[in-house]
Amino acid sequence: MEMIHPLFFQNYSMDIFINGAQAISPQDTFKAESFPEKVSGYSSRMTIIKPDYKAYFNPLAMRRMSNIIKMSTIAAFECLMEAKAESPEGIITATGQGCVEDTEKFLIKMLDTDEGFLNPTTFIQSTHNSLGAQIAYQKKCFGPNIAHVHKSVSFEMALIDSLMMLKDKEADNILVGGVDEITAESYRMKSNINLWKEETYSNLSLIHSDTPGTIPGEGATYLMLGRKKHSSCYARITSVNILYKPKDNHHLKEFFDHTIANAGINKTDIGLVLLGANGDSRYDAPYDEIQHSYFNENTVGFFKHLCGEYETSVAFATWLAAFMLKKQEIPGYISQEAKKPGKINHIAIYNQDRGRNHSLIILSAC
Amino acid sequence: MRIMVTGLGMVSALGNDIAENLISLKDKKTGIGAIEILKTVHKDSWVAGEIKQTNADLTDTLEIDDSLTYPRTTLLGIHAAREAFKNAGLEVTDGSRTGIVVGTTVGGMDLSETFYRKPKENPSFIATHSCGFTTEKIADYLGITGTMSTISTACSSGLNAIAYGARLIRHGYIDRAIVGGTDALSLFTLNGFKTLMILDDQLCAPFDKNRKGLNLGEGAGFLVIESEKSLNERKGEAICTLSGWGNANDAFHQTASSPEGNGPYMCMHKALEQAALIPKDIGYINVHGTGTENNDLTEGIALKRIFGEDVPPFSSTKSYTGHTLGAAGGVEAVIAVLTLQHQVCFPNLNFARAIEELGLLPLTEVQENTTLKHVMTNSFGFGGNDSSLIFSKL
Repeated sequence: MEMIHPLFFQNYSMDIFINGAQAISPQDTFKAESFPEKVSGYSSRMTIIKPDYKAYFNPLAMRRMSNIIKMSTIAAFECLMEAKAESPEGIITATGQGCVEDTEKFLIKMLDTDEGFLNPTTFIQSTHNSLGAQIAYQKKCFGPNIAHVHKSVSFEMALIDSLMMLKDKEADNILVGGVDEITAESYRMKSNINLWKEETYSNLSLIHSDTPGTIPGEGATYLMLGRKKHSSCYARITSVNILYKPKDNHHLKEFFDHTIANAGINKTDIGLVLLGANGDSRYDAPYDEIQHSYFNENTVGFFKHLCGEYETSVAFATWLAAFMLKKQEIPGYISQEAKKPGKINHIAIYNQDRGRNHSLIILSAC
Repeated sequence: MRIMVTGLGMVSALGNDIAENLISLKDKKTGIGAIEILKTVHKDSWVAGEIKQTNADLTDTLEIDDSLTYPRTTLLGIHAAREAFKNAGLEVTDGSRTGIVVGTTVGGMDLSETFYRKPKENPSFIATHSCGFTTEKIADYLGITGTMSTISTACSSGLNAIAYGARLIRHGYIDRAIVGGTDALSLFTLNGFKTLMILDDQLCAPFDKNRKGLNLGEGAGFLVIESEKSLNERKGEAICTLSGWGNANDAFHQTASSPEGNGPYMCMHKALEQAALIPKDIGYINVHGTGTENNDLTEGIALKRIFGEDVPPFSSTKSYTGHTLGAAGGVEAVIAVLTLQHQVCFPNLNFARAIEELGLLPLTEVQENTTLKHVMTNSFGFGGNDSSLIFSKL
C-alpha cells in the first residue's frame, strides 16, 4: 500500500480560532444573529441576497465595481469589524472562476469590436487577485496577499496557506475568504456542457435529486483567523486536507482517517458531517457510499441546496459549520436526521468534484 | 529546513529548453520580435516575445492525444514542467509525495477567445478556461498526485507559487514540488495592456531614461524544489537552495506602485530576513524591470532603500523574453538559478541612459566567471502584489 499524505500538523499544539465569520449568500445569512427560519427558493441560478451596497460605497465607486468585488469587500469588512480588527495582517482569498463579470465584459467587447477601443477598468478588475487587492487597498494591509484559484479546492488551499502563515508566526491573524459569482452570461455559456438542471428546477428539492445536473450558486464568505481566541470566537479549525484522484475507496478512507486523527479526535466525536452532494444524479453516488460505509454512525447534513454549486462553496459550508458550533444548533433544513447529538463538539465538511479533488475540513467548538 | 532546488525547465521566446534559453541569454539575443502566431489585428503595431510553435506543434511534441484541445498556457506549462521533472531525475512513481503549484493569469483564455462565439463547435473549452485546469493537466502528465494549488496574483503569480510550494514542503505536506508559472500570449492580455497604454511598440528598454513601456511575452518556467531528506533518500543532486521568500502588498493603487516603492521594499526586506542575509550578501538581482515609467522608477527607489548606494549588479531579462505575466516569476526564477549554477549574469538589453532620479546602471554585458553566492529575483503585480525570492549557492 502506497503511503498517503503525511500527518501534517504533527505535534500541532497551536489552535487556530475563527474570530469573525461573514457570509453573503443566496440565503439570509449576512450579519445574521440566528439561522434563517426558511430556505429561500430559487430556480435555475442561485444569486446572493444583495446587501445595501449604498451603505458601504459612494455612487462613483459603486458604478466601477462589479458585483463580485462589492460582495467580497463588504463581507470582508463586516468580518473584520466582528473580530474588532482595523486591518488584518494578511489576506488570503480563494476563487474558482474569479471576476467573471469583468472578464466577460472585456472579452465580449473585444470580440464584438474586433479588438477595438476597450475599457481598461474591466481589464484591470478581471484579475483574480483584485478581490484581495481591493481589501488590502481599502484597509491598508501591507501583509501577505495571496489568491488561490485551484478549482473546487481553492478555499481549502487558502485555508492551508493561512494556517501555515499563522503557524510560522508570519501573522497573528489572517483574513481568509472564498468568493465566486455566477452571471447570467456564464450560466448560459456553461449550459453548453450540461452542468445544470432544467431551469424550473427548485433548489428546495436539490438534495437526493434523481436527475442529472445541478443548480449553480454564488457567494462571498470571509473568516478572520487568529492565533488567539477572541470573545467573538465561533470555532477552531482543527484539520484541513485534500486528496487528488484517490485510487479507490480504501485510499479515500485512509485519507479520512488521517485527517480526523490530525484533529486529535475520533470519528465518533464528529457531531455532524456536511456533505457536498449537489443533486447531480451522475456524480452524487460517492457521497451516498461514504455516508453509508464510513460516516454510518454520524449525523449527516447538506449545504448546496442553500448556496448552489460553485467552486468555493466549501467556504460557505465552513461558515455554516462555524455558526452551528457557535449557536449549538443544527437547523432542520441542514440535517433532517432524528438522532440529534447533545453538545456539538466537531463538524466535518466533505466535498469532492466528480471524483477528482476531495477535501475534508474539521472544525471544533471554541 | 533547507529547500533544495533540484531541477529546471523553461520555454520562452528564447528557446524551447534550458540549453536553448541559455545560448540566447549568453549571446545577448532577444526573443522579442514580430507577432506571427497570435491572430491579432494589431500584429503589425506591436512586438512580443512569442514562442514560434503553434499549439499543434506543442501538442505533437508532447505526444498529447490530439483529440483533446488544451489551452496554450497548459501546453507551455507541460512542456517546461516536464523538462524540470526530468532534469531533477524524478520518475512518475514519485507522484504521491510530489506536489505542484502553478502561477498563471491567462489560463485557458486563448481557447475562450477562439470559441466563445461558437461554443457548440468545441464546448470543451469551457472547462479549460479555469486556471486550475493547467495545474491538473501538468499533474496528470507527470503522475503527480500530492498537494496541488494554482495561484493567480497577476504578474507575481509565479514567485508566489514557488514560495507556496516551499512552505508546503517545510510543513511536511509534501517532500518535493514542481513550482513555477506559465502564461501564453492572448488577445485578452494584449488588448488589456494596450488599453492601459503601457506597451512599447519597439523593443522595451527597462531602467532606461527613455523607456516607453513593456513588451508582452509568453512562456513557462518551472523548478523542482525538495526537502534535503527527500533529496538524500533518492540520491538526487541539488543545484542550489531556495533560501528566502517574501510577499507584501503595496496597498496603494490597483495598477501603479507607491512613489516610495513600499511593497517592493517590504518583500525584498522579508526575503532577506528569511534567508538570514544582509543586503551586501546579494550578488545579483533579476529585477522585475518591466520597462514602464512607473515600475522601473519605483523599483529603483525600493532598491536604493534596501541596498543604499551599493545596489548589486542587476538586470531585467524581460528585455529578452518580454513580460510573461503570471509566468514571469517562474521564468525569471529559472534564470536566477542559472546565474548561480553557471556563475554568469545576463545583461539588460536596450539600455542606454540611466533614469535621472536614480542614476542606476543595469548590467549591459554578459558577466562570466562571477563568484555569486546569493541572487535575488523580484516580481510585482497588479493589485500591489509584490514578491521576492533569494537563491543561494550550496
